[in-house]
Amino acid sequence: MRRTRISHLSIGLLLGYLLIAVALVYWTVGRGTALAERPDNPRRVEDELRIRRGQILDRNNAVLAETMGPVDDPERVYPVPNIGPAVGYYTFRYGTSGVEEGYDAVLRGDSDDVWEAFWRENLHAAQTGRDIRLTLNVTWQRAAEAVLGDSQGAVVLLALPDATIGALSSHPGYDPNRLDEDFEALVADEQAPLLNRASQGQYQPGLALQPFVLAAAAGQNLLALEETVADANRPVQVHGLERQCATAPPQEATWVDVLQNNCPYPMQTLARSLSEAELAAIFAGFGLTEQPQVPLTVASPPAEPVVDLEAALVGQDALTVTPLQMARAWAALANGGMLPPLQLVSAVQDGSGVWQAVTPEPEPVAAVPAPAAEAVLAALPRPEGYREYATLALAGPEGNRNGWYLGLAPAGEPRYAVVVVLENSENLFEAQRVGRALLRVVSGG
Amino acid sequence: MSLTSLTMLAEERRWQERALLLLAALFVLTSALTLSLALEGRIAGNHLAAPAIWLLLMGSAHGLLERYRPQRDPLLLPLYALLSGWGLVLIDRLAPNFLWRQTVWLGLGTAVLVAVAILPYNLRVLRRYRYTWLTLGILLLVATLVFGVNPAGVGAALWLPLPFSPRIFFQPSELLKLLLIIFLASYFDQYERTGGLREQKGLRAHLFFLGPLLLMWGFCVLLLVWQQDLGAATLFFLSFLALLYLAAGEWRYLAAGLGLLLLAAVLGYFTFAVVELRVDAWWNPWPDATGRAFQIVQSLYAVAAGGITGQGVGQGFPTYIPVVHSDFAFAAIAEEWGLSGSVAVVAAFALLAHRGLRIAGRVRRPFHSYLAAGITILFAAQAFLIMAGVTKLLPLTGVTLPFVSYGGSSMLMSSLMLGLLLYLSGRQGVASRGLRD
Repeated sequence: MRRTRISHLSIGLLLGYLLIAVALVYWTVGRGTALAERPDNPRRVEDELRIRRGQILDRNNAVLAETMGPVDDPERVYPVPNIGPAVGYYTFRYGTSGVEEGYDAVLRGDSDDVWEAFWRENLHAAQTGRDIRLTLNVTWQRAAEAVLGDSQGAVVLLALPDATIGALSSHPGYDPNRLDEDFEALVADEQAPLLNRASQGQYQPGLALQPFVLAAAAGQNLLALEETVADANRPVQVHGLERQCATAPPQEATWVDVLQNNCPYPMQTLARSLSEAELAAIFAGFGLTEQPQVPLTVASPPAEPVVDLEAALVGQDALTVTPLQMARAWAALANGGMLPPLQLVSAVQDGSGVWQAVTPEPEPVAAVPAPAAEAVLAALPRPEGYREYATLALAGPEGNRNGWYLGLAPAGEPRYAVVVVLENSENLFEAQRVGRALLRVVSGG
Repeated sequence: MSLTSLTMLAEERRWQERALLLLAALFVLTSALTLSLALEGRIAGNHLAAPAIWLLLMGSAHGLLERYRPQRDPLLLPLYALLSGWGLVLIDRLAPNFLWRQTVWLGLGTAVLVAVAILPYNLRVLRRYRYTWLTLGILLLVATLVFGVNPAGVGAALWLPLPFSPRIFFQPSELLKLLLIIFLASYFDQYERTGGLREQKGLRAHLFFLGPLLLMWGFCVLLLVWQQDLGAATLFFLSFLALLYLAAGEWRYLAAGLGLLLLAAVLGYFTFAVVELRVDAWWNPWPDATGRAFQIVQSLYAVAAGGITGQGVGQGFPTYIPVVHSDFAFAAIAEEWGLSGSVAVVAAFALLAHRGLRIAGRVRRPFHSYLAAGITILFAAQAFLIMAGVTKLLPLTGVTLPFVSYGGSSMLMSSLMLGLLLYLSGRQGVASRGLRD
């Protein structure tokens, strides 16, 4: 009898243990993923810390960001100070931004390969990130930082004809190496150093739109640059302020003189031959109403760029632009009217460590006919061998002005395009000085 | 069975045990090496010294048992070796400060195991003086009310400092487990010797069992009230119920006992904060995952993180679980050795239970049978309670995983009890009927 009862007990105990085995399978296989993803699971943090994040390199393989230190206490290091606006940041506490965010999956080493992911998951293999190569050039980047100095604004340098971003600077910026320590102060800072002015700063373009509108109008045969313009220096009212040419044009001014002297009134006369929709189409043609496809936080364009046609023609309407958008439009003029895609990442490593080129998007499209683009460029001044256009744009009803500088070097066959915007600028020369200094560095002048 | 058959059986059993011990040694040493590489990046002596001592201890135990108790069960020592060696690696991983202390306790435990298993003596003294043993155990337990301390400085004062070394502590409830089993085995043995239920009819027969049932329930409730030792109280009562079923063969007693256990749990829930906390944390831990349910939630995270093959020795994060080296060693195994490791531990305890009950079924004397069954049930129930707690099948009871968790008293008494099982399995009478099927 007792042996039978012992058998019963034995079966009961074995069933109990079987129940535990089932519970283990349930928590491990059935609920494993859900528990791993719970925000209060510290293993998420630990797993993230263990990932050896990939490097971010410049176009010459100079390191812009890398992970250093011991496996259990890694540190993301950015050898170029204040490079934050160009590459973003990665911190454990505050997350990612910029390229670090846009290419997070690559830098973390996430894999689309189902088998690779399966084995890694089940063998708990260490995850190693892949490297990416940017189009930035450390030398140019440092130069852009230096020439911008303490001025509040942004600089974008493009290498032509591919419109690869060679330098991108925003001031005030931040040192991504110190983000954990400085984050609260950066957020509270009224000058908004975390705002990437190059890609997020939405500036009133003012007459910086002039070359594009004139090229489009010329392309549509609405005007010829050589024809004379009546009352070129006539003042116009903008936000209750009287504005006229930056410098006095000749008596018999042509559209070329209008361009060279930043005259607003003739621009407004184009309202007679352009509708709101047509002007909006011109803006769209230069990519001023779309977000550039780069792995940076970019500003959203206004839903309705043209509300008041006359104001829009002098860049004082609903349309605001970022320096990055302006640089792309500027590159279109330099590229014979073809609007290029911007490119910040040139290549990424695949799972085997082989570099794969990144194709920029979208495909180039014609913004204006090539002769019109070339004609406008030819009409621009050529100091020091550069093509350039500079203007001061009203930045609001209080009369603040932003200085715009659009430069190309060399003047004949441009290989570099620079766009500078300086906030609260008093005269044209400040932005001009910054832009020319950078062009001098990159073109070896 | 002829002498030749017995000799052949003993020889086969010897090789079985050797092979299993070799496997255990391979596993433990590989784990220790892996741990060393994971933590230090090299093979470091401090991670290999304890396993080396363990190897020496197990080799010596095998040799001595081979010589003096050749007819023993061939699986018990390998199971002990596997679990205790795994435990040493785990303590090195989770609480290296306690490694040497645990190694010393393992040394003492192994010595006691071998001594109990091989020394020529008679268990009659245990059977005859059952009330003396039980009184001694209860007195020690009561002593904790006066002199009890908690080595950690906080929590229930369940330990007594040893007189010769105030820095070494002993948990009387661990001794009481064995003394209670001896008492119950003797009690039911006497009942069986005097005719058992066959000669008792009606209320008298029931009273023979219901009396102790209520008495035991009362004792466990008192234990809970006095010491708030939920684990020991549950364990005592479950072991008692299992032995009661063995003796009486009545499912009704088992059902009544489980009902009483549930009643005690309900009373405890409304009376004691510790019981309320554990039941709440078990029923729905998620709303308070970072507060009162932190321990069980972290334990579940550890189990989930292990996956099928585990994070690897020294490469998980089990130390997020408070008191992981003691109460949650099983969760640490699940995280670092994965489902394969945790199921292996479950299988090891299932095998231990199976072999222990097999011994209980094969010994001739009722006292020996009850003793073997009681010890086995104690191991099995204790392992079940903590593993079920870790996997949220039951509320946590705060018991250790036998042979694996950190705890000197537990290691010593568990070794002693396994020694008794080896002794009972190795007696000529058992062997002659064959443990080999």
